[in-house]
Amino acid sequence: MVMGASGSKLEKALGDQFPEGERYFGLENFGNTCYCNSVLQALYFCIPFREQLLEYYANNKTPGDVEENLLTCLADLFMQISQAKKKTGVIAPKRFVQRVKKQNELFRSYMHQDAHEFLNFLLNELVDILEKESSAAKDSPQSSSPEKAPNGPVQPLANGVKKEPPVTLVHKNFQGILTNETRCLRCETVTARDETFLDLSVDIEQNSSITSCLKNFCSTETLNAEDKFFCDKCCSLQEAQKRMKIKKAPHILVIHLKRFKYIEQLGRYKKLSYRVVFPMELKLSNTSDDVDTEYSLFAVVVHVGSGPNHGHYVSLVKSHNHWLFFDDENVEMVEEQTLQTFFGSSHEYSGNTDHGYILFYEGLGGKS
Amino acid sequence: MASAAGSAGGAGAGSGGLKTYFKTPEGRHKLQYEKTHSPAVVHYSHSGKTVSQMTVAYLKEKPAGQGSTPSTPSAGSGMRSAAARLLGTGNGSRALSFGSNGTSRAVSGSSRMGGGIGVSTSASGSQGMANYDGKGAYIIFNTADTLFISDLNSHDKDPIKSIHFSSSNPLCHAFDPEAKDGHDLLVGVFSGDVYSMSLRQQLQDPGKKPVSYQHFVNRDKDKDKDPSQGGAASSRSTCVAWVPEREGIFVVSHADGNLYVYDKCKDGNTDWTFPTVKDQSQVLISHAKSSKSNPIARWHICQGAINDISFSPDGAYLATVGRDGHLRVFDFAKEQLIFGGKSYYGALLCCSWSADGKYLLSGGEDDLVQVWSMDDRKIVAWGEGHNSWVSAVSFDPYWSPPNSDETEENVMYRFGSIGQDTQLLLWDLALEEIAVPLRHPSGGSPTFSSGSPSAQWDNACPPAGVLQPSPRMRDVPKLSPLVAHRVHVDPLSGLEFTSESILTICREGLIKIWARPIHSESNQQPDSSEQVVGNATAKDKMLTSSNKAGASSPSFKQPPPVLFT
Repeated sequence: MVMGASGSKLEKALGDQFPEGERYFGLENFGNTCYCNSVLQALYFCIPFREQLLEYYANNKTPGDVEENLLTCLADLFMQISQAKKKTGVIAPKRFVQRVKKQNELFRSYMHQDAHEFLNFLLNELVDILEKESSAAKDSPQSSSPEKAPNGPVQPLANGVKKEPPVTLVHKNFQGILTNETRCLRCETVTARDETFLDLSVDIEQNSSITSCLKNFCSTETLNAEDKFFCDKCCSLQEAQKRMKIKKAPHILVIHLKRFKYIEQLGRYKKLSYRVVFPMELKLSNTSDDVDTEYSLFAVVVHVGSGPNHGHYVSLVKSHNHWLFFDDENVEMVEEQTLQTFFGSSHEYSGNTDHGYILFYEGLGGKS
Repeated sequence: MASAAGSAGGAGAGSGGLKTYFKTPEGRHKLQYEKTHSPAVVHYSHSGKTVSQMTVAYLKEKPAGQGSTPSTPSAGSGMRSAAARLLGTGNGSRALSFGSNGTSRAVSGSSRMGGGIGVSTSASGSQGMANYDGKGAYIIFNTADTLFISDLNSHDKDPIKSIHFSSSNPLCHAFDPEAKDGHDLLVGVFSGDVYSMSLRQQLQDPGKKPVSYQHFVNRDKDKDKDPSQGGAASSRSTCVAWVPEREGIFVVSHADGNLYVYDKCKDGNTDWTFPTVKDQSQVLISHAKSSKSNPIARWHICQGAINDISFSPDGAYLATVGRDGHLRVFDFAKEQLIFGGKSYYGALLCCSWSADGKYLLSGGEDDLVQVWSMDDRKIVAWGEGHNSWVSAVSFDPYWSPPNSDETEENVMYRFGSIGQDTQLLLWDLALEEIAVPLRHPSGGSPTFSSGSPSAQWDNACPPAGVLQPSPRMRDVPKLSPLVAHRVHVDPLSGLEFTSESILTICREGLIKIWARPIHSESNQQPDSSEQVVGNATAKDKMLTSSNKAGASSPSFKQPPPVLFT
């Protein structure tokens, strides 16, 4: 498809409905960089994240000698899109891709990569950069190197010794808190440990829904027989119940469907094409609030293909009440009902290989 | 969602292969037959994939002169007289002959060539299928571009009739067992148009095209669609229903949030227009300006698709569920909203009435079944048990509580639900048990006060015409299923209760018929043995089935529950 034709076609399809100030740009593929492009589109249409990143970059760009890093490359790319003269077109994210490959050996080859690994790498890298810049801004010689906050244990302030790491814009948008609770079935003591997350990775089952996958994620697991729990109070191994609760729900909920499962017999990963339906709206109960957090789906990263090492990624993005399909350079409008074709297959060996892989839900302002 | 997921009660769904039976307190439900489309159709499925739906139709003995008409309200009689007069003024080409007896009978409207269907309009005088001239029970279902009809009581897996829709795929259908003037079957298609026809005539005709049909053209679909509203697909038909107690009137719902009221006795290809809907989320009811217009009214109900509609058994109320997650209940005659409410989250996909018209069920994308009370005008319970979206819900009108002698004291209902998790769940609804928690709302909530959402929930009865907001998870009493059974390999799309069986259909078009438990002491069951029934017994069953007035479709009258004790 010719780039110009594609762009003008999209503008024609939208007509008067083209949103004010919005830009719809495809991203060029440099050889198996669709894992990168699809995640970038999803993040770009995470409006709070985009706006906060561009604002942060504008405010902190004044020092002329700022070293180039992944954050500056991402912000440059976002600015290139948002400030383009045309409404539609194609942009080559060359500097960004080069920076990614330079900083992470894993992405250096031209092999097909996992979009979820890239998303995790990118968000954590941004956290590192933002925390360093936040520490440097304080100009304190006594500042220790900040801990990696995401997906690690959090020391509560009540324990006093360590201070909270600074809250970056990545945390503001993506971070939630899980509570791991273990209850000894003998003395009924509940041990709780908090854990932060930037996304939730959930196991999937055939013919299920995101609702039931999240329910399973938070379901109670019994520790018994060979797997008993050492209770500090009983000073012995006891039967226990373990479960996960969402203590604080994130503003942007990212759900990773674990579609790639390691098969011991085969010695490699296999793709699970299970049919897992996901609704346009979602709710999470969290323990620190009496009200349930309500979410709206705004992006889906779709994996195309039958295995983890060969295939393609595309993304579907909601922008101002309509849905757009981003396939590297190509951008087109699709109907909301089209998302149902990416739920997965009821049959293991059907021809359908396009499956929803990473779901992005944005929290609605008021809680229900 | 932080609470541990409860395991489904009753017989567990088989983790391996599918079981061919499931158990309830009444006994064992065995898989009796399977029905599906012809294998030749499979390769069409990839173009324009549609979800299979199922309608059960009972054809009565052809009306004879000596049969007495059941008494009807005077208004209804007036409507029928008006219809008769309209028919009388029609041209002679509307007269068509039926089957072997050769008597002439007027039907509504003549056939049209609309939509490019090159079908012969002459009725077939074929004698070869005289068997379908009489009564019988049939299953109507759709796959891809074809509508299939199977004999409910036959062991044959293949359908006895295929009707091909070349211009637009069939999506939904409804049968009116009370129809008096020929056309009793409605078919809604992807383009938004609707066809009405006679089921008997389709069965008699040996061809593969619809015969003697009336085509109702949806003019709204030709207008330029707002791209943000979903384009051309938004005009597709989502549900068709005859209006009970109103002869010849039917309604069609669409994916653009519109519902049209049609008169089958009027021309289906008229010019009509309705005002533009400015606010998609508001209800707007418009009547046709011209008396010749068909549809006679348009109801704009919600933003996004209307996913399902259901009339109360007496035809007084219309329930709709939509993409916006709301159930709405209207007084159909007064055209007023009685009440409504929202799902926990996500769209609602299905709705259904109890046989006495007191309760409604709905299901949708939050994996829950909602139970609503008409008297209280609000939600009374949520059913947790499905692992995916709920596709269909239905009360079982043939079930009665085991202690039926105390039926006035302890009201109980049985209902079923099926979902995209391939499960059939059966539920018992005992209202006395449900009502108790609501009388003692938890005072422990720190936010509880007269102004809190809980107080709103605690109101004895919400005011009429108001849509209730989504309740909190902890505020609604929960039901657990009696039975959870994985009945198909593919996600399910339809559920029907008949006097002798439970029918399930999956999205791919495979139908399974689960025989109800047999009570040997009951004179209701002609055959007490467990062996496969022969033709004679099947005929007896057919007699039994056809004696019951009304189909089990939730849109129609429900017969009183059959007592097995």
